[in-house]
Amino acid sequence: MEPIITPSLRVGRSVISYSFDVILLVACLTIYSYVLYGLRPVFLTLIAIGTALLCEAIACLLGKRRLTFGDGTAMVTGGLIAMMMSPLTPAWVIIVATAFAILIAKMPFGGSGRNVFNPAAAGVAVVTLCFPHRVFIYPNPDQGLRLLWDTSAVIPQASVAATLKDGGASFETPLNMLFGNTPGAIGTTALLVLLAGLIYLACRRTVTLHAFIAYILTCTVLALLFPRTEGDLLTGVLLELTSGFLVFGGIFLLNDPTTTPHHPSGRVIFGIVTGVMVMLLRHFGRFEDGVCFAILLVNPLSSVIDRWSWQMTHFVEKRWLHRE
Amino acid sequence: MNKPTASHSGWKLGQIFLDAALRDNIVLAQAIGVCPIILAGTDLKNGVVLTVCTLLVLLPVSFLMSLVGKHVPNWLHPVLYTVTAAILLAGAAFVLNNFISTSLYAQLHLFIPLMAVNTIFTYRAGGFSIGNRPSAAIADALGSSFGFGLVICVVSAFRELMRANTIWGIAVPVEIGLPQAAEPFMAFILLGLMAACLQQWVKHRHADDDDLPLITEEEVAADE
Repeated sequence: MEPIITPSLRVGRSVISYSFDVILLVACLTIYSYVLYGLRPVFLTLIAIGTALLCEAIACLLGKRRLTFGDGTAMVTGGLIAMMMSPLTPAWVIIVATAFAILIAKMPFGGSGRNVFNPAAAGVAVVTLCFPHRVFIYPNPDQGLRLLWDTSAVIPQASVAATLKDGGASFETPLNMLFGNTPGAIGTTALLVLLAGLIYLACRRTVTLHAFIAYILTCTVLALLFPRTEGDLLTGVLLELTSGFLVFGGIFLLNDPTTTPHHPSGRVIFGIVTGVMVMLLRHFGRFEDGVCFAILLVNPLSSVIDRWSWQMTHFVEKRWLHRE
Repeated sequence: MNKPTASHSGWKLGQIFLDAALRDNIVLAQAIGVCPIILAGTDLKNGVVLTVCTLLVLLPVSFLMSLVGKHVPNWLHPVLYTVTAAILLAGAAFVLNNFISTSLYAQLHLFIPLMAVNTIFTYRAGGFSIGNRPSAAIADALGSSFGFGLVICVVSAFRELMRANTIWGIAVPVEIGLPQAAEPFMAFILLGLMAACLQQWVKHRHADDDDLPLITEEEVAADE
């Protein structure tokens, strides 16, 4: 195999097929969210994707470059940001997040295939830091809201991640979590849709499962060792795994083709390190969920992890398998 | 001994100053002295005070190191420039507290003593100045302080504007209202953007320049 060191992107068909698959899943999640919350999530997703395309075009024009949104990575960034936002988030927060993602986290580094940090994670992290009270407000899906503009009448609910962060017991059952019938972001609560999407991505060979499995196992072990709820340990672990952006981040942010290692063993290491960071941030961080911050913290390491993995493979093949 | 002529020397000193201030900016290109900008650069007044402190301390320390640096053993260099800087900073802190503004000193009482162990002194006074002529050391100290001041003033003015809608304590009619701008991440983002802009400018400006060494080895040898 030819060594490919992150950040890089195998150009050609695979980029467009990756973007196509992810956008398809974003569309599925948006439809599911429409069932739960009404039209507003659809509207917010369209705003995010539109902003991403606009910002990419502006950046390309400023840099006097060929327009690059044909590969769909800008749409992916916009869609993923919308999925990590609450249905109650004002549209301008989403516009700020997307504009930051494209104009600061992606294009100055050289655009698609050259960005060191995951743009979607960077956008969400910045609005989380700047406007935490506008990001972590979640409506109750049971109310069957049909909201488009006015959100002032909605009473925000504490998400499971927030309850765990406060050390309180959650009344949500893991089955409820699986169906996404809990307060949460637009696209991160519907775990069945997310897992079906992961199987689809794996079958299409768009992603490999190394990073995801290592990440989930690390999180499970850490949740078992350091539970945050009193009472049933298994329920606590299941709630820990199903709450917040944990699964969503594991599927979409951890498998980003540009900012994560390419080598299989490098992907396993990346998954483990990210899992440790996520659980550390959940225990000691300021916010209820730290998946975006964890991804951003580990992203710059991926090129080192990748290089070491290739060197180790080469060393092992030469030393023990006597292969050149 | 082929000493450079006066005009040549003056041009070279200007070049040292300009390079330390802009092209090889101490913060944006060399990534030195980032810490006070991140932590204390939230207010334009803080920025100016720290710039003045840097200038007042770096200038004599650099001069001293260029004079005596070659005559004392290497292991003594860090002791020499850190202790000198600490003494000068103690004086600067006293002056600031008693004659200028007690409230400013209350804000900066932690950061002014910390400047003594700042990497600015390690690299400029302890690195560049030793083995260079005093005039070059002074030009470098001036340029470095100017470059540091430029960056910390821009960053702190931006953060003050975003945080409190004021610049130098004077209200401006721009309503941003982002109190989180005082947190470190905003300074890192601003520094990153400024560094990128500087690289772009250098790339355009010096696209076909030869990369001239500032002080040739002959000159160093001539001084010794």
